[in-house]
Amino acid sequence: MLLQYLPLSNINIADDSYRITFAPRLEELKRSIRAVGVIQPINVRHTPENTYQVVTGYKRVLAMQELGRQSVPALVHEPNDLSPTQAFLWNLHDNAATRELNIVEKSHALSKLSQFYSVSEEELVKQFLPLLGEEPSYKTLHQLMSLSQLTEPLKNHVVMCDVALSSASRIAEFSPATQQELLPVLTQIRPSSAKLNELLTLIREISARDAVSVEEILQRYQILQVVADPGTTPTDKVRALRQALRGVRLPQLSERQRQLASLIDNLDLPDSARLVADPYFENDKIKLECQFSHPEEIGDLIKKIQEAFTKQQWHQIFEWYRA
Amino acid sequence: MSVSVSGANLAQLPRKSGSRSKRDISPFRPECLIIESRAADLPFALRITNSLRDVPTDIVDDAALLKVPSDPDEARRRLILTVHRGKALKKCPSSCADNFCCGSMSLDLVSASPIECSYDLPHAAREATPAAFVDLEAILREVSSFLARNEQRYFRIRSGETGDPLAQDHLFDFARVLIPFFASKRNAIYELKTRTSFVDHLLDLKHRNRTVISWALNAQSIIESEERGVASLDERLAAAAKVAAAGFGVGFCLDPVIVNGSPEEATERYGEVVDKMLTAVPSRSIAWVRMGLLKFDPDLPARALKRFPGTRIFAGEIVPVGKLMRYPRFIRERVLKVLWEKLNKALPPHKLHICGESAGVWGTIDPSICDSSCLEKRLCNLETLPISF
Repeated sequence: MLLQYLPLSNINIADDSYRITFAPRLEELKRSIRAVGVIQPINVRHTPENTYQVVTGYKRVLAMQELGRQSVPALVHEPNDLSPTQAFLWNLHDNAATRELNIVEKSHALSKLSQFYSVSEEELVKQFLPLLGEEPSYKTLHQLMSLSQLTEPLKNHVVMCDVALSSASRIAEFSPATQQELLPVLTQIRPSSAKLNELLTLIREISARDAVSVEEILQRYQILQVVADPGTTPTDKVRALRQALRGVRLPQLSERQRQLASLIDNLDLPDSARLVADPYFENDKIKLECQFSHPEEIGDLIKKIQEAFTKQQWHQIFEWYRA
Repeated sequence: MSVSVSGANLAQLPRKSGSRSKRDISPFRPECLIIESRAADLPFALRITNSLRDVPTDIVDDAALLKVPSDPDEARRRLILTVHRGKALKKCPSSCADNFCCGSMSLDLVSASPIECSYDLPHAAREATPAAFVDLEAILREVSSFLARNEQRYFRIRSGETGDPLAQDHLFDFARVLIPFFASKRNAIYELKTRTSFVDHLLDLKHRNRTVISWALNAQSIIESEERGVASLDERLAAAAKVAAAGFGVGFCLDPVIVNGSPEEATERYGEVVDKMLTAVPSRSIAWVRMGLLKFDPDLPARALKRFPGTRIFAGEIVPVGKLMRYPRFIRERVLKVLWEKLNKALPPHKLHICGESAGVWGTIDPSICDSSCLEKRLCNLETLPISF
């Protein structure tokens, strides 16, 4: 091992043998280097072909390049001193110990361990998932490994928008072409992971049921137009998209829900009261919810509800509900 | 023992190594036999081992500790001979606080089978490995003792919950013991539920109307796409006609009814199944008909798509209801009501059962069920007692 100032031009930055970093954010690091230089030397492996592979410090190399520097302090390891497996583990531990890896980086790490270093699934689960800050479960392992099926733009989207692992792995189930079609829709919305999972499931189920491509679904139901309206809030976009897709996926249930909503709308209930039915009509009980902030409001509220109750529509709701 | 292999020409087709084709209904023969040491000396184990002399055999202390192949096809090529842990006679798995149960018990001597259905897949390869409980004497002692302790009650004892009892009976020959056993009981009816047509070895057994042989039925298109290693609808009905002619009571189980389009399409499709059923078997020979719509654990689709990539059973309007996924109640009620009314033209209400539904749902279809005395009778199976076939 030798400490030296290695010209950046000697480093083969395209060699990603030990790299797991994806979509690095360099601004803070560049600020630090500008102020005090590189404090911690990088580690490189000198190959028999006389190139230098980055073992640790990929972001420092990138930052130095962007800053227009010519050389970087590096600990140079000869091939006999550092095996490829050791080099990869150095990189993995260096990253895992100093920062939170994003899910694409975790996926890269696990895929490389499996593919190039023949680490078994059991070892990945028991030894490496905890190192990466994940629960040691096969489900998590398979979800993370599936992210290798994401296209580069989708990987970027997943990292930039902090998409949850469960959602990202669902996106990875789609073909690369479908992922490209989905990307413009996904960039317009910021749903919770539960909502995003539901939307993706709806799209997949409609596609399977109607034997049509996702691209055709997006066009047929004008999904992009639904989410592209600049005047609509992201929350409302998600709601509109969910409503549109559920209407296609669950037409009878959606129609029934629409009919009930319309019947409830026709009631003259006070604003602070609302009727809530089981969304799937499993239970034939209807709940009346009231809100009030002072005890004196209760009497007035009950009176208004009683007035509404005398209306015929109440009975209609129950008759319709039980029909 | 003769084994009926309907569509024998199909059995002659070259089989792809490992997996049974959808239409492969040739009798199951394991490629590896695993015997638990505590079961090894039991008479049924010895007889099965003798009939599989040329099959490689391992004797192990505990089959549950064996490493199971991750590939279900490979797991399915094994056969484990074991003994029952805990009680063999169990409450019907559909019985829970929310469901109005048919009040039956279950008794299974086989676990898993060569049959595979997209709507009822094992969670793990371990559960896909066929196993036979060969401690038959102990099991029958348990059943006898239970029935004697509850002699005032009448029980329907079902099979087919954990595996098809007839799919491998050419190897086990359990039915030849069970049917005469129940023939000697005063307060129980045993139900052998199958998707096969392997019934020839049952025809001359003494049953005294204490065994009902029943068939899980579905539309032929669903059988073709969602079930493997089973008999066709026509083959099942032909087998049902055969056992009815031999004096057995016949049961039918229209479950899972699949609703992919409108409820009307489903009732038309399953109405045809009902018509065929009533044509094949005289209504006086029908002991009961159970029906239920598709319901499944939320994790089933992911598992099913691996085994049945072309499955269409999840295309309907399915929503979460409690811990299960199923059609909304208004769809279930519409389908069940039409089928119930159609069946009720040929069969009395007490022969019609609805699976996995609350008394509220059942009551909208068969209002007589809401009567408390009727409810009591159903739960005690008193209406089943005077078997009229």
